[in-house]
Parts: sequence; structure tokens; C-alpha cells
Amino acid sequence: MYTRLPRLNLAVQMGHLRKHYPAAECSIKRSCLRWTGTVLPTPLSDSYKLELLYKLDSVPKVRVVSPVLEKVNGERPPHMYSEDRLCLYLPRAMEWTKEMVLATTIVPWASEWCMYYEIWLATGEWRGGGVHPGGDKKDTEDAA
Amino acid sequence: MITEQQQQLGQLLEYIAQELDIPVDLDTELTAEYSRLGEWLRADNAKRFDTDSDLYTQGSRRLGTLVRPVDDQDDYDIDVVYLRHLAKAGITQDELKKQAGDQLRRYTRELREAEGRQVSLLEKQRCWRVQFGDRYHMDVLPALPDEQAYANNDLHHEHGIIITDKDLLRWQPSNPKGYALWFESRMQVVLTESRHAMAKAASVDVEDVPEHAVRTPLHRIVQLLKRHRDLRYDGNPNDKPISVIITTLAARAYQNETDVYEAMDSVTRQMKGLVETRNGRWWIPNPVAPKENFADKWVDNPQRADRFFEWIEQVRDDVDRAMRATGIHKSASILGESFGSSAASGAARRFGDSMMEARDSNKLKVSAHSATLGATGANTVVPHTFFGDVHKTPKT
Repeated sequence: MYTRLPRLNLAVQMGHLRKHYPAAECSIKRSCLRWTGTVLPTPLSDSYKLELLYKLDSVPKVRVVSPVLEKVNGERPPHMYSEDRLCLYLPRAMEWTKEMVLATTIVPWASEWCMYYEIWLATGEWRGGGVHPGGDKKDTEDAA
Repeated sequence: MITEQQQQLGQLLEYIAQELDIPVDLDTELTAEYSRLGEWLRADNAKRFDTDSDLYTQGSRRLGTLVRPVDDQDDYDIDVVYLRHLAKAGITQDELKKQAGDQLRRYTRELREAEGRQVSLLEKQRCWRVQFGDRYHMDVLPALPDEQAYANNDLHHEHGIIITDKDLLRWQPSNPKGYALWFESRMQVVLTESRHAMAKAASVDVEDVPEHAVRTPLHRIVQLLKRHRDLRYDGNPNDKPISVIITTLAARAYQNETDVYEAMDSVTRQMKGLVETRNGRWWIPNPVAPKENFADKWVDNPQRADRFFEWIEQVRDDVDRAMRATGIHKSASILGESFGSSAASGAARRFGDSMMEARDSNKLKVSAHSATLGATGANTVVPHTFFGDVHKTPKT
């Protein structure tokens, strides 16, 4: 019989993040988890300082703190929301739920995003797959 | 041991070399083209002269080191040996060259008249050039078996041939098949391993994997060096090192490395030291005809040797800079200057696609501490779909 896994609270999420990324900073203030760490997507890649903010009543929000993201022919990188947040998963497909560990999902996905960003800079093409919201407004609202 | 950066750069170099390969459809077309010509010549020789003949490829096509032309408008140059099974005593150089020319003239006329194809014929110093449309031409080199080859006991002398030259009275010895066998022998270990790996992956017998289907790091670095030469060799174009010098020195230096970066690093470090001097003359012997000096043109043009050594250093420097750059895009940009921007961006694309494929088949790992992606790591990357891009107008 299928048992629904419990929703992970912020302290548990922070524990996992600290275990996986001991050099990163992680804190919880006013019910908001804030993690700042540096990832190296591939050995030849640049290092990316990321900030992850997460409140239990919202969704995880990730942005690249540094380096400043570049444009290609005046275009911003694909798969970003407003406020420079990275779009890492498909909200309607439940690819990420509050039962999942941020440290082994959102952070690796953000690292992957940075790798495909570099490939986008090299080729002008997003090779990481994904979908664009098109006319379906509901997706963007879910994820916001 | 090589570092993770070196390994990843080796992967990018491998992908660049794949981009430099002849496109598959053209490859198939070419094979059909010279098979057909070979059959036609064989039938014609049987009918008219009651003799036998062979047509086989030589040079980069035979070696597997063919490189796409720098300019997409340029055509491919394919070298083939047209071997008549005749005794030297029975025919002169002029006659051999002329008979081949007559046959090719009839063949090309047939293609034009019966099939409306754009085919033309041009005589060159040692060969006939058959131009097929604007995508490729074939340099057809008339030849006889070298009856004297046994006497000198050189490596693979059984494949020795003699060829004609407009300006030389004597037949010139050559051995392109022997050279190709020597080239293969320099990478035998990796060639055998790769064939076994390919056979296993495709669930077929090793014998069913043709050797020419395998590309080793030696093939790859020869392709890369040739392309780098074509793009980065400044100064007098006549000073460019000929492909056979690059190929010979690289093959001699190659130690069956399995990684392209490692092979490139080791080979380019040794190439200069493998150029000999004999009686004060630069000397790069033909491995299947040691009396032949591939560097004979350097004797009267000593600056060619200096430029060659400088060029090798430039290759090393370019590869090193690509490795030290921070960012795949920055490495790709340096590799683009060195090997061509479309090959470099193609390589970056292939790299991204290989990561995507790994993730989709649950083989992409991620390390702790730095969240670095690759074939090894603490965790497997969970499948997901990049989403969003609300800033763009949706496509209608």
C-alpha cells in the first residue's frame, strides 16, 4: 500500500543541505530557509554562487548571485522567471514536491542549469531540454 | 593520471574531431563513387587489355584522418591508386598515364551523356583529377606493382608500387598501402580494444566491426593538428607542414593513450624530438621507405623547420589555454579560434546532449560539496524539466 511521505520541515531540509554542502551557508530566519553555496557544474565550468530561499508555504526560489549572467544578442538566458529566478522543474508535473530533499534535487538541478547556461553561451542554443509555458498561465502562477 | 579538467577537455577535443569528420551521407556517396569507378576500370581492362586492375584509396581517406574543408564551399580531395597488374617492362610511364587518361575520359563522358552528371577531367603532375560536381574530386594515380620492392626488404614491401611523374624520367616508388598498415600498427592496442567495445555495445562479433569504423585518439589528434595547421598557420602558406609529416610524427609519438587530451599532450611534446638531422639535414624518414625523406623540402627552406617547431608550441599553448579558461563557453571560444568556431560550438552542443542523455537514462551523477555533474558522484540526478521563460512572447 502506498503511503504518502511526510512533508519535510525546514530544519530537516537544512540538515541535508549542511551534510551535502558543508562549505555553504545555511540559516532559518522568520520561517524562511536561506542557503548560499558555490557550485562547479563541470570541471571546466566557472563557479556559480547560488542563493536558495524556501518557505514552507511557497516554492524553492533559486538565483545566481555571481557571476552576473550574460546575454546573447540581447536575449536573457532561457528558463528564467522574473527576478532572475531559475526555472528548474515543471510545476504541474509534480517533479518537485515538499516531500523532496532540496539538497539532492533543487541544488543539482541549479548546477545543471548553470552548465546548460554555459553551453547556451557557446552555441546560442538551450540543450538542456524543458518546456516553455506558452499560453498556459496556470503553470507560472503555481510556480511563483 | 590526468585531472578532471583535462579529461573534460579531451572529451571536447574528441567532439571537435567528430565535427571535422566527413558527413555520413557524403562518405557513403564517395565510397559508392570509387567502387563504381573501380569496377568500370576493371571491366574495361579485362575487355580491352585482357589484364586486371585495382582501385584503392590512399592518404587521409585510407588512414581515417580526413578533415572537412575549412571553407564549406571547398570540395573534398580524395586520393586513389589505380593499380594495373602489368610488368614494368611492358609499358612506359607515358603509356600508363595516357591509357588511364583515355579510360577516364570515356568514363566521365559516359556519366555526362548517360546520366547528365557534372564531371570533368584534368591532368596533373602524377595523377588525373576527376571532378565530381562541386562537392568532391578524386585524384586517380596510375601505378604498377613495384617489382624491385622485395630487394630492399622495407616494411610492407609487398604493397610497393611505382608511379609516373611528368618531369621525372624514372618511375617513382611509393607504398601508400604499406604506410597505412604501419599507421594502423601504431595504434593496434587501442584499435583492438575499441573494436571489442563496439562489438559488445552492438552485440555483434568483433570480426563484424570493420577496423575503419573505429576512430582512436591517434586519428583524432591527426585530424585536430591538420585543422589547426590550416587555420592557425600564418606566414607563407608554402611553409605549411605537409600532412604526411604531421601524421608520421604523431603516429610515432603515440603510445596508445585512450584519452584524446593525454594523447595530444604527449604527442605534441615529443614531435620535435622525433625530427632527425642526418649530415646536417633535417630528416623525417618514411617508415615504409626509410631512404625517403618527408622533410626534403626543409633542406632548402630552413625556416620551415623553425616555423614547424613554433607551430607545435602554439598548439600546446592553445590547448592549455582552453583548459585553464573558466567556463565551457570560454574554452569553446579558444577552441573555436584553434579548430574552427562551428566545430567548437558543435562540440559544446554534443557535450550538452551527452549530459542530457546521461540524465535521461539515470546515469548522470552529482558530487557532494560542489554539485559537479558527471559519470561519478554521490547521487544520481533526479529527472526534471526546465521550465519557464515568461519573458518571451509565446510562439503562435
